[in-house]
Amino acid sequence: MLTQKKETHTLFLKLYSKFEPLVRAYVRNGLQNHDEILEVMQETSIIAWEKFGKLKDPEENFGKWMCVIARYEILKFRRDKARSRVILDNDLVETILDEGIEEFPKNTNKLDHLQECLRTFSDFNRKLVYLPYQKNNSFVDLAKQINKTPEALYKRASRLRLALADCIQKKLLSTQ
Amino acid sequence: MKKHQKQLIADYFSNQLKRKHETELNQLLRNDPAARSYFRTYATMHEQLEDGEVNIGDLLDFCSKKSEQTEPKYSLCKNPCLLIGAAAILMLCTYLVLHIDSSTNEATSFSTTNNKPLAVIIDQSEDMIELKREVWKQETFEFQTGGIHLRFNEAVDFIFEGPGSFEILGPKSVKVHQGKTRTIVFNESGHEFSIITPEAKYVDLGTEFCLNISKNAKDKLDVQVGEIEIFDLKTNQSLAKIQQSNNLTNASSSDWEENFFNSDTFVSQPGDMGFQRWKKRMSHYAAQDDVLACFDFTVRDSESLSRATRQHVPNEWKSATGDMKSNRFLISNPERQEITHGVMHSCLWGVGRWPNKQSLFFHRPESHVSLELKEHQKELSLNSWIQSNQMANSLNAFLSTTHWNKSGLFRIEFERSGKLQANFWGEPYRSTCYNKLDQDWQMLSLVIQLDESGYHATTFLDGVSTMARKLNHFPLVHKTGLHLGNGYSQKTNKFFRNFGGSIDELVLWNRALSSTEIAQLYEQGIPQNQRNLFSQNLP
Repeated sequence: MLTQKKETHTLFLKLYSKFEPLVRAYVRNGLQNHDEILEVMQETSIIAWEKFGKLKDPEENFGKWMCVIARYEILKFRRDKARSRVILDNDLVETILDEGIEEFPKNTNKLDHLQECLRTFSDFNRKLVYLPYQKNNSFVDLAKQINKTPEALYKRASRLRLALADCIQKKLLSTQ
Repeated sequence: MKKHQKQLIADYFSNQLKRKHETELNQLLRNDPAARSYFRTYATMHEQLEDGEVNIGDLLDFCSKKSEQTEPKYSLCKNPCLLIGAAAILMLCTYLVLHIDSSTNEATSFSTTNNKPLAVIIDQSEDMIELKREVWKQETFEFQTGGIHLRFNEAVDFIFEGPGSFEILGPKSVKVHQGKTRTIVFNESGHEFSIITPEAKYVDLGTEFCLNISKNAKDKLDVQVGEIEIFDLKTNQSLAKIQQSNNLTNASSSDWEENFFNSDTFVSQPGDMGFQRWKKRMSHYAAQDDVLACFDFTVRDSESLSRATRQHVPNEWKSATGDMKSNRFLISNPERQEITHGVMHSCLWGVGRWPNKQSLFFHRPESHVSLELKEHQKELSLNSWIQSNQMANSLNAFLSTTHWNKSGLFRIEFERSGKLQANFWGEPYRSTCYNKLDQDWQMLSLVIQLDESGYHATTFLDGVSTMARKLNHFPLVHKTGLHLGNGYSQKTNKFFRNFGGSIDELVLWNRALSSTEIAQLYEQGIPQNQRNLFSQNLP
């Protein structure tokens, strides 16, 4: 019994580690605030662990199944607890999430595409594209040191992000 | 997808989406599956990038490595051709690595000075053009009509009225070519704010002053508070110092007396532009089919109230309104059959959200306005601006139905603590956990929506949803008498829940507004001039 429980736990951890980034990206579709995403991910993982025993063919279905749980938690969170102002209407978010679940099996290689696209960028651009996401004052510091205005640097990073998204989307469409 | 549509999605994820674009983003995603697919891809990318880390040192190392690659292996001084070539490569490398197109006018969250914008647009006479836009670099503004209200350096309010133009030169300097200005320096960090005209330079020494700059006439000046100093443009010599009430203290010539003018009636006060925008919006509502009523809380002239208008009131008041003073009427424009005008009882007309705007103060236990919704409504949205002076009762009614005996009736009330309740007959009482009711004008909204799963009600304060609930026994919005600002007890025949605050504007729609529309109403209606104007950043 104990051995079986341990095996289940190991399998859960293995699948969770594999799919967690994709599920977190899925949650991002419904929430903007980073802390809120973490909160929903925590709830989702607890429920997933509690119900993991009932999941049929986990190796095949785990990612999509977690998204279904996350979908419910996102909508519940938006309805009851969302602290940040809601920009997108709830029914629209529901549509986006539903379609996200439908296309989930086809999109598991999204993260690979992201890495492939990043590799087409120069070293400087590849690093610059991460910069807006840093919590410290990196932009201002960098701008000062290379004698450029922060907003100009920011605009360049913004263009790079759009180019990166275009590249991933193109790869996704070509493989579907 | 078009580029600007992708940019909307990018702005959404980087929290840079302007409120005026929120509706467009909602519509885009609602109508275009490709946009939704792109949205999900961007979400994935955004989440992954946010999770990654980059060291600024890496980027700087990279820059320096690029430079090192161009350094000579042997002395270039001995070979001018190599020197020129290396210089060209170095320039090209520097250009490639560092060149960034800065020809944009878009505001970003970074500043050119101390990480702060030079100025922020507080208000504008045209509706929702660029409110709150930050100005980060020199910029010229031109107006044929109307004007703009800017705040510099969190210390100086600068109001400009056209026709004319001005140029922002820095956080403390503006060049005005033509037009009327009002400058209010409200804390010490704004001292020495300067206005340069074709004729002279006006430097603040802690003040409020107005200028009227014309092309073919001398500058006109009115120093209302404090003191300013005027300098010659060519020699930079002080020409005069002028104290409040235009008291000349140190002038090289007495000619200055001719330059003073009375600005009170000529130059906008803070808030005037918001008031103008509001008037335009009220006119717009009057022409909309989905607007059931728009009470602008403005006293009409007796002459403008026709007999028909006086009779379009709740039934029990029809016989009494013939000779009633016009200030007892709360008039809706448009005048629709579905809802009557209001009749006011024991309220006071007071100051509204802007200078010269009126509001009703519900100060007495019996204060209220009687209205009547004469037809059932499938859906309903309500939006109003309130100021809570005191919460004297355990429940203080903003709006209640005259009876409380059947499904389809509702009440909007505040608990003494400031928590908002939207209650529906036959449904359990529910209050929000949000109780930040304060002395500022706040926007209150209620949306009653019908969808496939039934009725839902959502309340909003200041454009943010505070409570959403499903209504299990709500058949429709029932036609009913309404009491604005009070609640009436049929048992005791008394009003017992007076609001105790002020109300300015009440608009009703016969449909459910989206949360985006509610957020826009807040942006359009908030009195930008009042909030944090004189209280912030005191040294």
